Amino acid sequence: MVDKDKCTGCHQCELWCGTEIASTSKELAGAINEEPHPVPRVYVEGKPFALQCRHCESAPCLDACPNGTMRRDPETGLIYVNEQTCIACWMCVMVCPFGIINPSSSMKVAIKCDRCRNMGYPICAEVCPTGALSLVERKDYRKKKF
Amino acid sequence: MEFIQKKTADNAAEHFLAKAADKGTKLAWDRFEGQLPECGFCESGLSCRDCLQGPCISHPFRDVNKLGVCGKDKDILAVQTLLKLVLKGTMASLDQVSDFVEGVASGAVTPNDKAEADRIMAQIEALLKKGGAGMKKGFPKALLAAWEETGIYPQGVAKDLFKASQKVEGGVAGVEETLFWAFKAALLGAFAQRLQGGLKKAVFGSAPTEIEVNMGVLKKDAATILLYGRFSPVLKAKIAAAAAKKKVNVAGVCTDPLLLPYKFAPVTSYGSQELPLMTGAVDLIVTGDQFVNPSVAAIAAEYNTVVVPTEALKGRNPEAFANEIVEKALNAFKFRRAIVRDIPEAKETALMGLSAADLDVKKIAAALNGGKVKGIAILAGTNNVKFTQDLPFVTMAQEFLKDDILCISEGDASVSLAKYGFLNPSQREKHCGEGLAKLIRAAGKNLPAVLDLGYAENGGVAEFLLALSAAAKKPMKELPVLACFAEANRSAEVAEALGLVAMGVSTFFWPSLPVTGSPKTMEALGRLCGEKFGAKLIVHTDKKMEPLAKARMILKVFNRVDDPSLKDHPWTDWKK
Amino acid sequence: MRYIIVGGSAAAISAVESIRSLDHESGIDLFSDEETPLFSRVLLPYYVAEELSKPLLNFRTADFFEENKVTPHLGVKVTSLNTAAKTIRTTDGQTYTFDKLLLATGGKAIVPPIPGVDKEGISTLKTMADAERIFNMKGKRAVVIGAGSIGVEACISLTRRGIKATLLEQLGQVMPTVFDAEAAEIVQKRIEDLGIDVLIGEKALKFTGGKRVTGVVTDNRELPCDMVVLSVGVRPQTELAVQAGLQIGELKGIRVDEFMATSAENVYAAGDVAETHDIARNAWFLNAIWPCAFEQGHFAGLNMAGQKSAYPGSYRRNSIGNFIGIPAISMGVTHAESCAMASDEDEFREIRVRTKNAYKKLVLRNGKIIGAILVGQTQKAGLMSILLKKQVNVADSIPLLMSDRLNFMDLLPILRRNADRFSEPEYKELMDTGL
Repeated sequence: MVDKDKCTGCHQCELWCGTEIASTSKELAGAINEEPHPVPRVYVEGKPFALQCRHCESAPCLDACPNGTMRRDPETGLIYVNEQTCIACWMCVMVCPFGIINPSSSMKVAIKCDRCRNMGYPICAEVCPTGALSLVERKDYRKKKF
Repeated sequence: MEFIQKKTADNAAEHFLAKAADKGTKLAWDRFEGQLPECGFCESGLSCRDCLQGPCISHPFRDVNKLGVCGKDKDILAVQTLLKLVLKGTMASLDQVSDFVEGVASGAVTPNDKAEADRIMAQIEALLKKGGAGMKKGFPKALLAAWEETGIYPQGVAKDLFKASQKVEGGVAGVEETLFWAFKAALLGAFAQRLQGGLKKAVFGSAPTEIEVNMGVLKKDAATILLYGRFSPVLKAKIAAAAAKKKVNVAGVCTDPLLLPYKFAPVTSYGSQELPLMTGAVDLIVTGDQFVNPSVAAIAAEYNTVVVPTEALKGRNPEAFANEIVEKALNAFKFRRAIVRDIPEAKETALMGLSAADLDVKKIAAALNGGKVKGIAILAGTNNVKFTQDLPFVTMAQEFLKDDILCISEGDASVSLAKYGFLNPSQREKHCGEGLAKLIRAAGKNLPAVLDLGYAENGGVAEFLLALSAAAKKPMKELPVLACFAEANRSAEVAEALGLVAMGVSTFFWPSLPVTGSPKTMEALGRLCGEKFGAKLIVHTDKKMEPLAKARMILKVFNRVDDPSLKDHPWTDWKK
Repeated sequence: MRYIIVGGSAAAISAVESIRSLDHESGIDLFSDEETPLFSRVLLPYYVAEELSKPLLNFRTADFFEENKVTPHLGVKVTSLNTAAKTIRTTDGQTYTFDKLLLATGGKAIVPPIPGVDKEGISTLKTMADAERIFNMKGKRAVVIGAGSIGVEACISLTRRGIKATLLEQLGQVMPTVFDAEAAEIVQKRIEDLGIDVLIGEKALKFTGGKRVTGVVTDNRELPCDMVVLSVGVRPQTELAVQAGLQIGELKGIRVDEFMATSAENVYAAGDVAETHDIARNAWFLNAIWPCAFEQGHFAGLNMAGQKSAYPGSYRRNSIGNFIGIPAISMGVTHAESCAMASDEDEFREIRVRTKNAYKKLVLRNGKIIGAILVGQTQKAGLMSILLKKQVNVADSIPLLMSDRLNFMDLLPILRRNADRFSEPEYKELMDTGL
């Protein structure tokens, strides 16, 4: 859930997503100096507003991926990139209407938020100083429908 | 994100943490947790608020905002963050010495040695106006040469502070040049501290004094004043005199405890400064500005403790002001009789206020040169809520003393260590290795394990180091000395650390300074300082390092053993 | 209910999934003339380049058929279709009946009638068998004829295995259906930087050699080589449809309406064999592109299983991923002129920004995006996609769209003004910022 009135554009979500998720060293000082630089999966742009993967119910990226690299976790419904099999064809980049899938710095895999599926609570929501980002259970989850 | 499990090693403080939680009183630790996570950009030095076209950041992971609006890059942003800290910190010393001079010059106190006091005050005026030209005799030639070559020898407030401050206003100065400006500003403050120490000695005298520390010194049944923070010794002396007449107790928190013939027992150290108020035994506090948490006013109110800021002095007669304060304290005591006192029994004896003159520096130098002690560790700094209070100090002292490393402390670090008996002469043998114990026994009269060289603003450490270097007949950078700011938080400490590095003493500083976002600045603090001063400022980025690991890492340096976690070794010729 | 699906690639598998989302019980029989199911054709060049092994070419796991209760008939070709009787006949001599049938037979690589084309060492690159054949060819020099996506990727794949490749294209630029001249210039330079010789405007006239090819003769020169890859285009495999009398479109694909239905009742078509409404061109067109096939298969499945769902139409999308070292994406039409059906009232605009390393172009008709090319800087290309797909009028927002700072949030006002172009659940999903 992103409360657009509370986003101040402070970029902390980007900084910690980049450090804790995308970097190799997982520590701020190390992540800052990594080459190629880690790519955060959340984007603070525009109004300001922090935008990350919406894990769409009818996700264009799932259809566009030619080899099943983009997949949905059956239990959580979250969409994630299986980096092992990604061939960097950028079909997903081309179809995401939110523009939140982008090539990695190394240009070898597609990078996208997976809502910290291995972590427990999304790091962006955890660090947001104003509470603009928070994880909320959706009660009106609908079945996939075009 | 960096949730500290154990808040303090001090049992007296621990007692009040539980009490505060029950009462709903918010302390520094609670506010720290509320602040988490703290801004990663600011923490790394990658932010700037110097002008209104910002605030700017240098985003390490995005290309569009790598430079500030004016063009400052991540290296400049970081080194300027350091510069701004040092400027503030050095002004702390300059402010203190100015206050002191004003007090003495007004004639409010009669100095023990008037001629000497006048001479030093003239030197202070000269230093602030024109620089340290008149002080060159007090420094070894090699040190002076290094300072002249890097252009950091103090030239007075206008040239050292005003000019340095303008580096952040614009211009194309690079990392190295900006760093040297920071050193220049730091050195001015360091010189001021030495002179303040000399003035204090001339006005009040100086002698090692036994004093009690920790909350147990508070009294149930007598009016009690606590002096908080650094402010003019003249005012403090007046308060002490007036209080003595009316049998009012005066103790201190984060303030110089010794102002002969008066003593202000240190009730606690920086991190727990809010807690003595919770004993209920404090009737009135006098607050300076430096080192005082604004929160003490709110907590004082909860216990009906009167708060008198030194601002209220406003150029009036300090003696009259002091009398007023004592009267207020007596009234408050009457008024507060019904408030329950909860005074922990924690109390420890400490020998504080040593100076170079009280130690047999020749013997110490000989022990160093002869390898009888492996080196000297200077423990400095104050508490920081990011660490378990006092634990880094205590751990380092424990480990170093065991391994025959002479430990010197100053300021709040001394108070922290004193609480655990490290400054108690009768506990010396318990803590020290054999070689060290022997040296300490020989070096002075009934000395404790850790030698306190007085409060930081009196420049006692610098005096000692210069005497040591002369006695050992070696430049500072060749002596096995390391400074450890095991827990630090104030800008004054950053300035002090740079001052020590400029003197040739490699310095470890925790928490990591806001320069970690700039590899160039980190490198300059290592390699460049090593080249120019023979010493480095070591910024450690591992936030999760335990105190024991830190102590062991430093021990490896003293023992001349390689440690891969030390990417940049503090001594350039450590293998010798 | 009995479903039969003819074909085993993107459209077919997608249809299986959408059928199963509605109907868990009825039988599905799938016929594919290839023995190797579930592999992605898009990835064949990676196999040739020796970078992906066979299992990694799959886009669904091997237990897909079992999991979805599909009876696969692999290596079985359907030989005839009787729409009245609702039956098919196959190469194994059987007859099968159906209630609903999907023709997802895809395309067949065109083999140009160049003299010598049946020599050994010459192959198209469409099927798994093709890929294996090329993979096993011996030699150090290759000529690739046709610089479309397949041709370019084949060249680069061979180069990665140490083979010297020459790319031959008879039209005026590389990838003529994907990029405009300017983008093609950038792409061509990149291909050449990899050590590939690119010959533009040259036509292959004949192949030399005995049993095995030893060279290609063009209208300019002779190119000695050990192997040839033919990538001159794909023709939809409509034999069954033609034989059954279904309506065929101008591009030789099976015509389908917005419910993916052919002219015969109960018979549907999807994928590279189908001709659908093209959103960008506003005309019937055949976009033989993987995501289009996937989408069409999905809609076909839904409609076959009884849920009437209108397909919004296809639009070409190509992405040349990490083959040439920079990302390059293209969608819709490449030039304003390529719009065949244009009325006198239509107004076209092309907006281009070229920098040293990047190229961005938008093609608009009446203020709506009908084409986009992004080379070098492809961040946020998906935003162009949604605007094109929904034919949102963006005439007032050109500077925003062309800037590097384009982001979803800044597009929100435009999307809001055009809410009527989205279905309710789609709009909700776009606007709803629930995590």
